Amino acid sequence: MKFFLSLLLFSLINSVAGRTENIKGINDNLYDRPYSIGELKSGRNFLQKETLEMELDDFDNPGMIWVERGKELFNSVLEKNNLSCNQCHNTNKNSLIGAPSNFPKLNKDNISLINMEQQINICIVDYMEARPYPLESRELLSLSAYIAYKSKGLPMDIKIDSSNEKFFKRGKELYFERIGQMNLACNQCHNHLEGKYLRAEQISQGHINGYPSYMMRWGVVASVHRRFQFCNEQARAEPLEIGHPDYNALQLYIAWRGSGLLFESPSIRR
Amino acid sequence: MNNKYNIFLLATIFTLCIFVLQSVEAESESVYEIRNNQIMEPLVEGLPDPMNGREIVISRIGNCLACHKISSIDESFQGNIGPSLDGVGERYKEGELRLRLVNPYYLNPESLMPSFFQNKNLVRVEKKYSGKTILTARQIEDVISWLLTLK
Ligand code: HEC
Ligand code: HEC
Ligand code: HEC
Repeated sequence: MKFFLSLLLFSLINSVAGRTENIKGINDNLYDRPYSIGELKSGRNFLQKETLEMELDDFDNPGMIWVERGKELFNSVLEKNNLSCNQCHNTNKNSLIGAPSNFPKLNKDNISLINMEQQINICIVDYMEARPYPLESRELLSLSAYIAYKSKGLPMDIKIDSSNEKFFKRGKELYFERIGQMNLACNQCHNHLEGKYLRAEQISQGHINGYPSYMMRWGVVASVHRRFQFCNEQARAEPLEIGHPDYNALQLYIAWRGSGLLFESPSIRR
Repeated sequence: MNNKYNIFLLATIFTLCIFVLQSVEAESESVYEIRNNQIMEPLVEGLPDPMNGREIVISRIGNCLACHKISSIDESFQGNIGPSLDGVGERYKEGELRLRLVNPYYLNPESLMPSFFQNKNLVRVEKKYSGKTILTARQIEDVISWLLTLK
């Protein structure tokens, strides 16, 4: 008897514990952009003074090594058909300036989103008939950082319309979903705890205008998706693969949420 | 023929019973009762060890300092997402602390404080932690016993 009572008690309790609905903001207007201080702020505002100085100085910024390598790759010929990126993308045509604002964008198949790194691989495979670089590889992030650097100082301007709204909604859903053993959602930290400290790290609004970013803890430039994985791990949630459709949807929502910020890649983060 | 059938039936019922018992055992970690915003009953029997509790609080096992400050602990990087735990043993009774560690959502559905004793109704838990609570019943009792010394 006692056994069945505790079983009953157990199921009752479990229905109270860990509710995932009731999250502040998820039911607001689809296009609300909440920040605790009400003002849009780049992650740069939360850096320590020395880190910020390093970020602002192209000679000291270690991310510039990636940009320089990217520039070299961009101008060199890849395998078979003797093409380099700059033959199709140069000051006269398709210059790629401002291009980061188009990403993540709808792929030509119209059924999936692609990010900058995936687009670069598409050009490599489809137009240059060469082998794609592995995601998160030095080469691919160097090209990506170089293209982002060309747009440094321009405002991020992500447009949502009927073609990508479905992905935007999915991204917003993911942003507000409590995940992991710690049962935390992105918005709980990045919408409500701006300026507070998680151990030694000051929490920012969680924008991506500085990506690809040089991560001091790893000593390499990392993509937006790599940063997402890291935040997932902190909540003890299973990270998704880099390039995963859900990460692209999340990136679309976050890019839109930060629209108006200036591109600052390569930024420096802890 | 009939006899064989009966034995088969008995065996099936027996296996089912064992199965049910086992699954209850696996879930029994989360059985507790909330009354007057408290969980009165310790999660396990036995004398708690406050010094082990202290170790859990300051180490990565409990990782409490990621979000809380405790002045008496010499550690330069302490978070401030939650309130300072200074004097928490004075502010709260044992049962109130137990509720906060076991089911913070009971008081605040949007709480950022994780439940240290929840292993179900969670989404996309990292494989190495899947099915596990962050702390064991024993560890939670040890932590509570140390928090009660913070006066
Ligand atoms: C043969 C010509 C050609 C080459 C070589 C080429 N691309 Fe492209 N690229 C295109 C065309 C055409 C588009 C637009 C259509 C598309 O998305 O496929 C494009 C689109 C892009 C875009 C998206 C632009 C935007 O505004 O959305 C990026 C970024 C890009 N290419 C980068 C690269 C890089 C990096 C390389 C070298 C590794 C490269 N491309 C090589 C032809 C080329
Ligand atoms: C427990 C709190 C917490 C949660 C939950 C969390 N993050 Fe973070 N996040 C941080 C901290 C701390 C940093 C590093 C400091 C900073 O830049 O905010 C960070 C950094 C970031 C950054 C980089 C910001 C920059 O300027 O470099 C992005 C993007 C980000 N988080 C996205 C997410 C996403 C997406 C989620 C949900 C999947 C998430 N975060 C969940 C705490 C959190
Ligand atoms: C991810 C951040 C986080 C972690 C990790 C965390 N807490 Fe908390 N804790 C909070 C927040 C936020 C509150 C405020 C109450 C709320 O939001 O529900 C809180 C409240 C509390 C309270 C009530 C304090 C008061 O004055 O009301 C106690 C006690 C407490 N936490 C103990 C702990 C202990 C012990 C640990 C480690 C085993 C821990 N917490 C880990 C975020 C955290």
